[in-house]
Amino acid sequence: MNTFQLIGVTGCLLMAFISFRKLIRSRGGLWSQFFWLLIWVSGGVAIFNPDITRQVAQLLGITRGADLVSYATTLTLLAYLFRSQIRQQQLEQQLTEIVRHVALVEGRIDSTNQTEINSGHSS
Amino acid sequence: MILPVQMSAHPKNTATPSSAAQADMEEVLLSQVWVVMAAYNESVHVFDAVESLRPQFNNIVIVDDGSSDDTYEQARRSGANTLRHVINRGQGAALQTGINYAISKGASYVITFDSDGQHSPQDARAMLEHIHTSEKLDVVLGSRFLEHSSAVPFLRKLLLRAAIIFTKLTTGLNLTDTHNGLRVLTREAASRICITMDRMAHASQILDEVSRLNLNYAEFPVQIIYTDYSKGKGQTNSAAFRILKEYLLGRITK
Repeated sequence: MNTFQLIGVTGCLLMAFISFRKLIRSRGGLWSQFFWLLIWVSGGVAIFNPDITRQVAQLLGITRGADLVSYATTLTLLAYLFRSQIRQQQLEQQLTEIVRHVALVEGRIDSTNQTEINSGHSS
Repeated sequence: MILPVQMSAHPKNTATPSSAAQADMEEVLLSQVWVVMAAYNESVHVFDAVESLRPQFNNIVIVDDGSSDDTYEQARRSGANTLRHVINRGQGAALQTGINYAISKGASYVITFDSDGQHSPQDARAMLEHIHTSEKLDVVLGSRFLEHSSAVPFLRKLLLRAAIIFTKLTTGLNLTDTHNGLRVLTREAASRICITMDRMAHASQILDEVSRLNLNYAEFPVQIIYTDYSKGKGQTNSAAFRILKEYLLGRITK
């Protein structure tokens, strides 16, 4: 094992351990943590035994292991970006609900105050 | 079954309303109809917009969508019910806020009306009379293309035609104008329609809701008054792609 493999495998094992702990404690979303656990384990295995990427690639009809890693990384990033867009949209909707609630509450208070002022003027 | 009816402004064989029906209509107009306007940086026009509506409508609510000018103060000065979004959320969000307010005030009909002077209060009145007398309609949608009375810029017309085709494919609705802000909704329809697309895609979402909820709808010819001011304030043609993206993303996250 060379220096890069030592550092890489250690880092992936550490991240996999953190993801596993979150997974068993049900923190941060089960599917999300399971996904990251898979990523770190796969990364660690690929760094420990680079030839495995060639074998998996050939199973999938891709010539080189490096190409497989490239495709997988690109697809994963695109999926993550899409998921982030959806999550942002959901947060925007929640923010609108809060802003609307404040507007309606202030509107009711304003309406009540106006009614009281009018009652005061007429009495 | 939805039977869209594309009415002309001068329907044939229309009997003159009796005085009792007319009085009934006036009572409805004065007490049960709410006009909802979303306004963003409209301090120049908002007061006049309210004043133009006053002869026809008593209940007007303006939602200031986080304006950076004194739109809110001008709206209050006009005497309209005024709500304020503390930050800008978009026209769709502001309309939904106004609709919620109108419903809470007991509105029997809700009219959405632009605050930039593009819509005619007379058109709103005519649409209201149409939905009030029909007894079957839930939604009346303004259309600038029914009688070719509006001078629509060519490129804008092209994009609107594309939107019509898109709407037909996604909702099945047969419409001549899919992005007209002048609408009349019954209380039931307004309560059931849920606008979650905050910005300009809300217009498409409202049509989605009409289709999803199987509401009875009709189009009504209206005039859109294009001025240099309203053209400057309105959406650019390139915004169509941003609206499409918002719409598609909104459908996924709804």
